[in-house]
Amino acid sequence: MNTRKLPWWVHLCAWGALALLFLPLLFVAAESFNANRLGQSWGGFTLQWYTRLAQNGMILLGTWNTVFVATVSTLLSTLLGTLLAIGLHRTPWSKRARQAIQSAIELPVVTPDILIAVTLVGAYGVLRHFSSLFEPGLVTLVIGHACFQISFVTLVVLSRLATIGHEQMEAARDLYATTASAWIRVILPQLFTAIAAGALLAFTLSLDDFIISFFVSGPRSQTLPLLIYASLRRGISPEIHALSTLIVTLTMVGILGAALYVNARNKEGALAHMVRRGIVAMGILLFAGLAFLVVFGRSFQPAVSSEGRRVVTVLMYSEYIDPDMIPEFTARTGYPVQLELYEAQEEMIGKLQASGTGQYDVIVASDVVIPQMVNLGLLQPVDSNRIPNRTNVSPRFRNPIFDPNNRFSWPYLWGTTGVLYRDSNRIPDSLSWADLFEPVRVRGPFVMLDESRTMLSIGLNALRLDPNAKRPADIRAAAEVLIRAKHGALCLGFDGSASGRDKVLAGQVRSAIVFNGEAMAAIGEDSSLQYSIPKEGSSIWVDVMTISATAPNLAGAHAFINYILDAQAGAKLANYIQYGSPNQAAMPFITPEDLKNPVIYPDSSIMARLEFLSEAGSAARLFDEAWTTVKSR
Amino acid sequence: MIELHEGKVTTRGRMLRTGTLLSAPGILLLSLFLFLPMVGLCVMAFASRGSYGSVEWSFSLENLWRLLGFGLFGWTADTFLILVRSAVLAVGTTAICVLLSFPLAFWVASKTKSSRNLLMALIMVPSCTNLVIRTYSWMLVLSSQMPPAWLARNLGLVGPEQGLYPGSLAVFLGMASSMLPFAALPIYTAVERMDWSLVEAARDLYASSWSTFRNAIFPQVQTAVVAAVILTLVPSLGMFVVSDLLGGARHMLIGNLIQQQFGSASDWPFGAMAGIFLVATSLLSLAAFQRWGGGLLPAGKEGRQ
Repeated sequence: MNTRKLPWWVHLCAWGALALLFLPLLFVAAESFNANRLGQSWGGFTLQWYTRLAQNGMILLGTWNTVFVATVSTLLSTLLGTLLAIGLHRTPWSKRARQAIQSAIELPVVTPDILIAVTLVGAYGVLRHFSSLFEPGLVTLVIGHACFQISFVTLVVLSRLATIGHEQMEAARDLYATTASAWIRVILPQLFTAIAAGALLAFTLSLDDFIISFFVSGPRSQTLPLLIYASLRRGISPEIHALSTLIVTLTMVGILGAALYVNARNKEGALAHMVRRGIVAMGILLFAGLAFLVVFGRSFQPAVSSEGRRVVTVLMYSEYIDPDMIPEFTARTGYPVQLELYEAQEEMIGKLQASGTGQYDVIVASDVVIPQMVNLGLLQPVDSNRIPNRTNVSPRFRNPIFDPNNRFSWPYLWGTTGVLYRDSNRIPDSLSWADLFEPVRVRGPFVMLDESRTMLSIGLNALRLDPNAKRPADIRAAAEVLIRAKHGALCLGFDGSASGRDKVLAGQVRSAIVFNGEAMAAIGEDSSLQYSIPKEGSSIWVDVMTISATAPNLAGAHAFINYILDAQAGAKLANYIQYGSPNQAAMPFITPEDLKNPVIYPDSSIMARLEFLSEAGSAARLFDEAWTTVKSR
Repeated sequence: MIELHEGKVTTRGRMLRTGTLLSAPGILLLSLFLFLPMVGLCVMAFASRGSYGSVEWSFSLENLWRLLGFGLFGWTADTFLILVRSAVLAVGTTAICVLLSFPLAFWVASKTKSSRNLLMALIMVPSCTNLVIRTYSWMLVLSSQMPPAWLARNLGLVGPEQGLYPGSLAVFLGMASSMLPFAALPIYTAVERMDWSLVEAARDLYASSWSTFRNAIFPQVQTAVVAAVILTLVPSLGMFVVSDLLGGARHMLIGNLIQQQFGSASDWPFGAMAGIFLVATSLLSLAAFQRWGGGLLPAGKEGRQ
């Protein structure tokens, strides 16, 4: 490399690029020591997230799965990708064939992840008839990741091969090297940086992959990105920040250690010797860290068979159960529990449709999707004789419209959608949707909820139309309301419920559309906030427990549903999540303040404004097109 | 076409055979899990949605018309707007990343050998943290209480009390931050191996900085730029997490549209149609781009080895 000084702006740009890469990491590290759980302001220094991380079996197992899948798939794809690049490079292609092959290699890069996920699921579906290896799990994850990684490796290696050119090969040959030895001794060493670069790219792609992993993973092979996306629903836990900081620190220590080691090896003397020893020690520490992950991750994974009882696998939202309840259930019934988490239930349904329901026993989902799940054959009837606690359910939640006679479902928790805002002068009852949607009446920045069906029904509410209207003209009018609201100068866009709550807490917005559970958490943090159901009305929802059509553990599934409907357990659940309990018998055990709180249990005048949303059915496409219009104008 | 070597004849046929043998495992894996099912997906694109989100195998051109804007509410410009926004974001991100990668690569290449490898490895470190986590921390970095927003307020770039997010600046920063390593790696691998004697020669001939770059440096890194563009442009075309989080989810991108069909809309056939449309456009534009920038496979040297 020439030693001429680089111009000043090159240094500036390089440091700018480094800042772009590392600035977010510094903030992640700061958050991991922040005592304020919701993380929007500094609440003092703490190490509690690190200690909690060490006890969180799900995250540790997820980390282990992620590292395992990334490592194995990177090795596989680097090997195959490099061979592919060399093979393609040495083959004398015709012009046409070259174009076709190049496109074929680029195909996995240009294909959106979701399509790769769908093609993989299709292929696994066929192959599953021949081998159980293709049941969702670590193997399907490794193959799935390798499929898109190969292309990245091949592209990087090919671009390097193209610059090496054929002259070196000819020179080697002139010196009587065989083709193979010319490749190994002349070309491969020059390819090393490119292969390493390709492998690094592949590795990081695998670490970050969410969509493909979501579709091809099973309950025991959840990776970290799946847990992180699932946690978006209720707010990212600082434990994830602690973990990210640990991973970055360990990686940096590893890289610096390797660099120092290489340097020290080239020098002589006692100092170098000491440095070398130190680095070896660091390497051992790193390894021990990984081993810790493995051991802890494993030990937190419920055994497939303890006391001869099989695991009950439950599919639900993140942080949607008191963690103490799982060991309690196991102690009472003998069934260990395996949780799998999801963020958006429609995607969860897509996954069940594509990969089958055979790995799940209990599925917790909202009222609005139950008819769809029943019609798609994803659920089986619940045997009410095996649910003695069914009598605890409040009459209001028995025999619901979406599931006559509770054939397929029993209620879990219920809640409402409303507005969280900062305004101490306002009487909660006086809030109108127009205070958000009519730009002239808006008094401060706000965010809307990023959920198509809920928002369109709110648009209908604002127009005082039936929130379950399915007429194109009505839906269109609701979309217009939202478009006008979106173009207001104070609208900061759409957001998830948890993230909207965080913005209100941080003072970035004055109001946000959220679920009442998030509102409770926010008001607990800052009592000057209020939650209300606008006077035009809004939606009420109930999450229910169902049993998968091909549940492997039917007895366990019924035992789980029965346990949740128990008076004490139902109260424990409601006290932890702070949503409404549909369990009448649980009322005496629920925290009295919660029971009196209108945010959780609205009085009858507010209840009259709330309506359940019905399944969209054939109007689904109308809702989808209207939402696309809202989001594209 | 024919070379004599150690008494053996290296023919086109022999090379074709070893070439095929080496590439077979990779091609096989891709065919089995991607190419073949992709054919099924193309068929699905012409099927229709059953009323509960199942796939009805009755074929029509309905999804294609819908993609062209003819929906249940009559013709709308929705798809067009979505495509234009996605293209602007992807091209902008790619431009920023490639332009930043050059100074970064030269800066790294000017260091000693051991610190070079160290620096390149460090550039990949942020990617060990999940994209969502990094994007969330950009929200914090750009929020109204932090120094960048304070600076922008004092320069009069944003109004009082306002942060730098949500907005397009935030989206581009977040996108560039997450895609930069994908452009920096291939460009660095080329810069590191560059033949500097050509640069010296150009300087000796009193070439200006620009013409040195244009004639002595760029041709040596051109294929790497092609690789960098592919690795950044294409993934950023399908990406929507960053724009949703940092742009306030105000505008839908093509990635959202496709994802939504496999999620809340449960309309897999339309999702397949939109996805295949994206794949086809990307492949065609890449082919056109490579016609200009040079392909990755050796061109015009058939049979030479």
